[in-house]
Amino acid sequence: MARNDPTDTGGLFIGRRPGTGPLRYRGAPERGGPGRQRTDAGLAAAVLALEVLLCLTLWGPQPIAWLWVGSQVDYLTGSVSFGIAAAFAGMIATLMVTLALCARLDRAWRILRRAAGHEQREGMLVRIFAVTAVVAGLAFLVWFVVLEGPAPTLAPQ
Amino acid sequence: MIRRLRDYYRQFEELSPDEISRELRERRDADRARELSEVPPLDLASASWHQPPDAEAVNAATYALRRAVNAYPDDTPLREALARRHGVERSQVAPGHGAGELLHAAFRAIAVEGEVAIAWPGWGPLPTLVHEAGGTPVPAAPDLDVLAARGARAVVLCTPNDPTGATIPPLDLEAFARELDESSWLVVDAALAEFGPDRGDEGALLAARERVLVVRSFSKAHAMAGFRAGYALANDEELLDRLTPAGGVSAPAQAAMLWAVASGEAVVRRRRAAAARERERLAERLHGTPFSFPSGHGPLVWLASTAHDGRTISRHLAARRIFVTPGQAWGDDRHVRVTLRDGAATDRLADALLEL
Repeated sequence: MARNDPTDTGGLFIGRRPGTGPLRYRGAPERGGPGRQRTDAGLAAAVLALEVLLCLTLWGPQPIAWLWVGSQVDYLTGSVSFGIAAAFAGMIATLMVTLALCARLDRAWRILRRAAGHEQREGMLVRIFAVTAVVAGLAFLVWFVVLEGPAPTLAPQ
Repeated sequence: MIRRLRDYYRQFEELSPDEISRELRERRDADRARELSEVPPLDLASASWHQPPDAEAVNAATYALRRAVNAYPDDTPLREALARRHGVERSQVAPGHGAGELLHAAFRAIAVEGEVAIAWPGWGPLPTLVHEAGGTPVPAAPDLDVLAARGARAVVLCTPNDPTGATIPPLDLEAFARELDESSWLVVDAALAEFGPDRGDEGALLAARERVLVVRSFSKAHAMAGFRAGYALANDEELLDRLTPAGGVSAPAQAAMLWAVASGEAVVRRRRAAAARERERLAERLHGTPFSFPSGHGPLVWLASTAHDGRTISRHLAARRIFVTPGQAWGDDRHVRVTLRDGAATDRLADALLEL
């Protein structure tokens, strides 16, 4: 009997896998000379570094700053709830703003990479976000468990 | 300066999926608009079926292609299926690379010298194949009595006939097979057999005569010309061995053939009905005009006119971008061979003919 199950691909893909198609531009881009490409590569690296720094602020400076703001709100209003609410609302707001900024930087980075001669399909934001979260989490664990300990520093031991 | 920089970097922005889709839609619309303004060519010259093979046949071939194509294919299941289909022994079947290739090999085996009578008109390349094999092709009137009396080394019949569509009833063919001189070979080109009124009882024909060879094809009613798939039926195992390709037929072609034999009957029935319907439609449209063609079976029509010769007809049609095969290919100035397709094609052909 003829066997003809078309869904049995035997591991052979027909056609192109999703996301592997060529980049499509409005026209054929005209790249600059080697010097310009090197400059673009340097600029891309700088933009990437800025992106990393911005992402890192999400896991340290920004929460600390908003906790300080929350404590001030608590002090001024006498309400812990207000303080906590202000701190969380502020954190969410600056998180959104930071991510929007990072997305723009990521787009600029992709364009600079292409200008530098690379077939850059995707940005790095997701990976940077994940890696900085892991790095910040590990750093917190080291500080919390090894350096500082769970006991308060101001209260009597 | 800033604008120049912005323009430089903007050229590296990729198109969004929406923009890509819009571009593709615009291209499609432009193509459609062009199609509406252009008269597309209509190929009525090719003898292959105008539609692709059944999707299941292609699936079967694809399935085979994704399997162990590093190994030589085993044609036993196909031979058994074909033998069951025709009521013969497995040893009486030889799959090959299409009817043309099988006939070519057959003539090299049985017609290296001597006269080969070909019922004419018949399949166009037959005389060339005989000549290449070393035999002498002799076109003869398609009259069984005349052919039997000829005493040729081999007699070649084409049923249903390409280009006329005429068929030889199985009983007449069997009687002819018994009547023909024992030393002669009877070669039956049955590439269009699926379009005929009879299923074709090759078992009875093989029983009626020792020196008989029937060649069948999957290129016509099964629309598998691209697979180069066919088979031969004969009593002479030595002959069949010579017809069998070294290493056999490819695994995908075998899989498609196997599907066609096991499950392709419904598709063939639809195509047979479609061909009959188009013959009838063309006959109705040309009724009462100088154009006529003999009754028969299959999509091939041997068209003639009492008012114009074949060359004039084919040129007139070509000027309207309809392409048919002039009868000169068969040494006949009066006819053209037309391969029928669907209703729209038949109507366009009839309209063009009526303008002549």
